[in-house]
Amino acid sequence: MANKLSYLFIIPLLVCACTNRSLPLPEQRTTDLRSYLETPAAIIMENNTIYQNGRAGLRVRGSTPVAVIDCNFYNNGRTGLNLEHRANVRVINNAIHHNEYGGISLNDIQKIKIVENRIHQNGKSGIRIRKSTHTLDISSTVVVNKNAIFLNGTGGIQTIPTALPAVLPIELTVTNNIINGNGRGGIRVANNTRLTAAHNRIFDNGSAGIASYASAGSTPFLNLYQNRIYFNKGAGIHVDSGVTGEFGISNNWIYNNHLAGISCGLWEDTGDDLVDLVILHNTIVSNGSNERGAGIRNDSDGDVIIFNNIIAYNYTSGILNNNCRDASYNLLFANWATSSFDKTILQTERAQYSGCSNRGKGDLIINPLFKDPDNYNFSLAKDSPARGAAKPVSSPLFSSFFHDMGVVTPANPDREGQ
Amino acid sequence: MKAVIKRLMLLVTIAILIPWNFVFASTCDSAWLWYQEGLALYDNSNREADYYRKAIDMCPEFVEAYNGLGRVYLNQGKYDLSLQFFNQARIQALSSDLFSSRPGSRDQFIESIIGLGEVYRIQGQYSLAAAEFKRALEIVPDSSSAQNHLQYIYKRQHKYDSVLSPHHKMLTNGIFARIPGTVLARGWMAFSLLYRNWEQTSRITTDMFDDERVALIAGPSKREAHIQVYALGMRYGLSNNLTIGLTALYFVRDVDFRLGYKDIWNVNAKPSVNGLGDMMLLTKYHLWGNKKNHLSIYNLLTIPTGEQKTAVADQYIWTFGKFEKVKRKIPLGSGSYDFTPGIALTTYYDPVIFQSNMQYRITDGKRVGDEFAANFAVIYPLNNAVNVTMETGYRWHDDTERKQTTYISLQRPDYVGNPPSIPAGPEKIDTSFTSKGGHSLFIAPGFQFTLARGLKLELGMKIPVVKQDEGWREDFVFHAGLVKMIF
Repeated sequence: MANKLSYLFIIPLLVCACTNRSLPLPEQRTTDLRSYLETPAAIIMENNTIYQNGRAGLRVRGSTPVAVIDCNFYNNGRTGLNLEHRANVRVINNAIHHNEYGGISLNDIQKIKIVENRIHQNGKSGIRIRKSTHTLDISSTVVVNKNAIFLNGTGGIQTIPTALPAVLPIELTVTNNIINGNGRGGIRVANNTRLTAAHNRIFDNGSAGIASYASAGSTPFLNLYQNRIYFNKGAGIHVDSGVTGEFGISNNWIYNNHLAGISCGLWEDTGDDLVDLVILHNTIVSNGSNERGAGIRNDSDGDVIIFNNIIAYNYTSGILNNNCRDASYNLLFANWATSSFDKTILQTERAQYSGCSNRGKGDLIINPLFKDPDNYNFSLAKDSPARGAAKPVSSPLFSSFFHDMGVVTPANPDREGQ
Repeated sequence: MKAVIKRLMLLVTIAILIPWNFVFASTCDSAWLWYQEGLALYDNSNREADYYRKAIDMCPEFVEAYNGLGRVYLNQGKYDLSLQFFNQARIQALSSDLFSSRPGSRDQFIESIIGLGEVYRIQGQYSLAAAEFKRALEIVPDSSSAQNHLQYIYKRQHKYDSVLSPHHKMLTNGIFARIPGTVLARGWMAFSLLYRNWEQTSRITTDMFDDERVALIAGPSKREAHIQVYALGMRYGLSNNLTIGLTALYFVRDVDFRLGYKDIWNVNAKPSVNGLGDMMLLTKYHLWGNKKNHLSIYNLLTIPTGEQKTAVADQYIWTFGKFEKVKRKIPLGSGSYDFTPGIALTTYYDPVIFQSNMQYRITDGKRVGDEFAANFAVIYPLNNAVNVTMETGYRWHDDTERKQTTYISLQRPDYVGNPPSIPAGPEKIDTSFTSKGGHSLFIAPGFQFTLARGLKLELGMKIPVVKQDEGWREDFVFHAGLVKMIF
């Protein structure tokens, strides 16, 4: 019945297979696009230019599998694509730009795959995902892979699920994307969202690189690993509310963000108890500006376990944590206005730990000896003291125990097709 | 030939008459489209660079396109080219009227400067990089990007003292307005050792005493006191919003003894007492703040640790049947737990810091009266090592009614009058003495010198402008202090 009721609206004012301007599509295609169509699409829209419509360029409702390939959506009055009500759509290799409201709007969808698109300069979010009480019975699965999402007016990717715990979650997987120059955050998730973000480069965004919030009851679930998060005007990763999964927040290079490298809880608001995070094997360097910007800052009352990280050159302290005991086996260096070479050890430690009286078990305060930090290469030199100093942990990321602090497997999106 | 000259003249005339701004604007509008093509790529590719070059060809003063090229080449690792185009962006930005009149031009100008700094950073040329980032901050002091890079550069240069942020500057106190709106970050500490020195006088009138016998002995006259105070203080950031502090006072006080009535006694001595005064417990909470404004509320709890000392004059008087030195008990503290709630605001308007606070001291009115105080301080850094300060403050004191015990010696025959007659000789009189309050206003210039990292020497002077009519009237107050911050 549902299928019978499913229907497809395509409301372009113009659908044509040609264009009078050269399309800024990627010069080289890394994959055969049809390989993304694991299941056949009932409807395939291909090679269309859809522009200057009063509302959305393309609107799709219902569960009929649709594929949108090699199209150009621009200058539409609302979003480029509006996919809603149990939609099952694959959006592959399109250019979606300069649309008034946003690039792609997903409302109560069932399954969406967004692959190898260029989503840029839209008025609001690059991709906005909503979930309301209309689709209580289905979870929404969104895969965002190998896209360039940049210079959008507000966020790069944003989820806005209803705060009711009864609603099934948005399963959002964001991998191998470049998300940069967006007016607000790179990725912002809220409430009942299960976010896996890996191998992304997230930089130059107007606030946090990745941010996680909850308005009531349902906390985002996070696995953030092997990302490069840098030059964002907020924190690298900001978790106002969130719980980490088996990967935790791990193996990320987080550097030169204008606030903290990783911040938990609202700034100077210690009343939040929806934080339960494991932060391990990250390399967090040179974050902060003005009077703000610790390497890792935890203002929440939740549990934040911090270990095997390298935290260096951050503007204020290395670790600013409500609970001094939750950090161990980290290497700290040159955070705030002291190095490890100051004459008074007490003063050095105070700066690195922002007031905690003692360093954590296994902690080092010493120059980590990065290979080329001036050029943002924070790999460890051969004689780095961080080598062999980590607490061995078991993680699905590692095939065996690793003994080096900081990022174990450098995220190299270039190698992964970016 | 003439026809050629005529045509040439016609062309020149047309060239003069054509609004060149219009022509440039038109070509720059077209260039803008090419620039947008490049921006739509935003992938640091040669193709993106080509679009920007095309835009520059059409509009040579297109600052955004130069910046775009600088960024592309920076990310491609072609640093010389990157420097070249960021420099060009800066030159065009400074020379183009068309550019400077456009909205957002300042951001583009800053982008070129930060771009240059970043190339120098990558090349390890820290001094050049720092110069560029500092230049950016001179234009846009809030540039978080420049601040972020600059602190890293300073650390790589081992210039850790230079990392200190404007917030750190805002932690500077006024010399007399000592409670700023900022609070210490968690774990930070500040120690202070202060010295103040002043003279004060008070007129004594007979109406201040309840008992006229004492009034006749004491007034009308004048009291004087020379007071030196040493204050040892410590403040600690308990959290990023909460600072606590404790200050202990030590007094050295020269007491003015003037006793006598109609050539009887004629005591005039200035003995000295010293001892511990009250302790002050500060609790301050950061109520609101942004980068340049900080508002805190606080309370000062006075803990009555002040001792009561006995001042002894060198002169003897005949009393209780023998000669004795004249003594007076001098309280060095308030004798009560007093609360002083207040509010403090610090505002940073580069490079000047404005600091103000208001407080009201609630007392039991026995030794000291209620007091309202409002202070305002302007702190101007002459350079990195010297601040000049100018402060003004207003005080209002309430009247204080103190209990006083006086021993007098009655010089007359024994048992004068009918019973109950009063015997001659010593008599203890319990009376009360009302010290008048009033309004006072002062200005206070001063200097602060940075001696070493986190260590400041303060010198200042409080000059009375309006003195209260009654009660104690302070004269010039001299202040010297050492403050040490530990972070």
